[in-house]
Amino acid sequence: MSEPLLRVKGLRTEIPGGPGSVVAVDDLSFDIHQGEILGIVGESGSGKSMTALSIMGLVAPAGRVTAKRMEFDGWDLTGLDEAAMRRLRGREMAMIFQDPMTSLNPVLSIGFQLIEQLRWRLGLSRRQARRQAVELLGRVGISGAERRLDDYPHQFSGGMRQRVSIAMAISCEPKLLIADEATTALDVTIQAQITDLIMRLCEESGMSVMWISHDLGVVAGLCDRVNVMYAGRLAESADAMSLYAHSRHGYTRGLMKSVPRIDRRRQRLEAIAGRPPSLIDLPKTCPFEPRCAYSTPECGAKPAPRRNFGENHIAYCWADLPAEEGVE
Amino acid sequence: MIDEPLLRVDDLSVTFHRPPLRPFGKPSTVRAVDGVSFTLARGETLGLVGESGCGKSTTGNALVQLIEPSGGRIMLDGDDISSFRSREDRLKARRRGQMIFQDAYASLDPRMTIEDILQEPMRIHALGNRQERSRRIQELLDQVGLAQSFRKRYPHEMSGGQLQRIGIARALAVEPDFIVCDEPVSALDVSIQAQIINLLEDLQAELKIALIFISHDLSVVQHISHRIAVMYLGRIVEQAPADTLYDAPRHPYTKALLSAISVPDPVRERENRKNRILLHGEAASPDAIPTGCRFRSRCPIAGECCATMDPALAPLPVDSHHDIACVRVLSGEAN
Repeated sequence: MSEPLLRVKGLRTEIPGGPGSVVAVDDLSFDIHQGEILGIVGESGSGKSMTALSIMGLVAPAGRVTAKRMEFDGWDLTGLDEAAMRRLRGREMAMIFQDPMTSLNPVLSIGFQLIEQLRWRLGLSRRQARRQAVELLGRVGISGAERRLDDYPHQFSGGMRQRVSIAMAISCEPKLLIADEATTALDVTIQAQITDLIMRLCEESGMSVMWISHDLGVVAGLCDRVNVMYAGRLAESADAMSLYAHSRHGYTRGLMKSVPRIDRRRQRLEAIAGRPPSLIDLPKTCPFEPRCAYSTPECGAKPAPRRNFGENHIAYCWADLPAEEGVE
Repeated sequence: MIDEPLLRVDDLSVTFHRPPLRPFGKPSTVRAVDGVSFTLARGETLGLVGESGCGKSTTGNALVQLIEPSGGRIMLDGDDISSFRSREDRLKARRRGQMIFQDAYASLDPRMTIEDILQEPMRIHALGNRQERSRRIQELLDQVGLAQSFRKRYPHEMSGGQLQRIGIARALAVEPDFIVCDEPVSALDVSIQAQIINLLEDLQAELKIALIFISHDLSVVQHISHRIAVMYLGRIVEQAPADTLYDAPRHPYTKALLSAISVPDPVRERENRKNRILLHGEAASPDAIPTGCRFRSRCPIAGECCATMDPALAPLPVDSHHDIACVRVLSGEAN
């Protein structure tokens, strides 16, 4: 197998302060290969966004990121200084956020913002950059791009703004695109348009994507592989088919059972009791144990083992989960 | 004899006026809700779905008198509450229709304890004496599954799910006939969402309260609703019992909306992706509603007649409980 584009080993992100430091990400390891779409699923506070920010080098100075290894396309991210990081960011790895209104500058036209970045990062002339900007907006499906270049962010609708930020993110043809809840704020019909766009861009350019979302449905359709996170730790990681067919972690299973789905109507949702733990001074044992419907005596006593289920499926869980109930 | 529904909304419209964009310009009007009619039976859940800007929240706000309708009638048990002018009448109608909001934290006064928050509606509507109210608070906390120790807490000491339980308890405090739930679970994590949905279902079964459930999440609406109305640009375009709507949608907008729902199943999801009806463009703005059918600019089956005829909501010939607003489908020209 070829070298992965991104290799993360033992990532730990700590935010000091208050009564104790918050460990937002703890001992996280995963790879992203070229052209792959990796989904990251979990609830708020599970460490999804902090993982993304840690990779992008955007956590300092508020927090401390350490890792045994963090390599991206031959670069050792743990040893890079801010200047080198800045050269990678935007050019080699780019990010889109949930709310494009806060990630775009409201007092500059979107043309200015796109062109500025093309000139600065790729060294294009004003005219070349403008031509490229028009082409980019066309690629993400904004009609009348030439005319809209001089519009300001507030003149665009939410879906259009998200397209603009995608255009901006892919402008330098990054090898890795990190999308943090990129379609969460959008209407379902617009969401379908955006995920289609992301898939097309991956196929066209071989870009890799880290797709952060809490929506199990969108992830099922878009992602090749999925990491499920809970309380800053990796709970389960598997290729999408295997994960949805037979989840092996109590938390993943609980999540799947608690969402209403139109293809399997049920009288009652099986909610997960309780709520996520505080990230200060978590025990070494499974953080989901108090809420888990499948917990065993070992769960509260010893840290959960890393178990392999087939080639591409791992879970940190003591319990042996039955095959999914209710599957036709 | 057919029971008179609890709530009958007739041709409701809500118009907002906007000041001119530039000096000496014309003020513009936004028709956020433009002729909406529906009924709500006792103990029933009606889901209101649609994309942002379709007028679903405005409709909900008008039902609980948070917004003054600019036309139409809202009949509660035969009385037109939108025509009520006196303070007493309006207060009386308000007690019968309560509301739960999306952002529970923002809807609770941060300087009041939970006890005060739950007591306030009872005080406003002059229900019971001090002791009775205290007993009622105890009962309410039990009903929404919170311990009595929450009485003395403040909203900032509680999690999102707990706050939404308080929002529900506050709505229940005055024993309303119906509750408008405006995106009550959208801000919550998936595992907590299920807890709140189950709670709403239990309370409805126990107390026989009618619910208007407003959400953009079609899977959630399908799960909780008996009947569903789909809104587009200030109008209801299709209305049917939940299962009928999801199994046999007839309006092209509903079809597109349903095909865009994703299910947590990669095999099916990849299959769906191929058959997905991708709508082009976005909804027109409610301050410039197009002539004829308002969906026609994005409609895959729009014909010539759609540019001139503004379709009214009418029952399908084959099913009198299934209403749609589409000239072409109703005339049998298209499916």
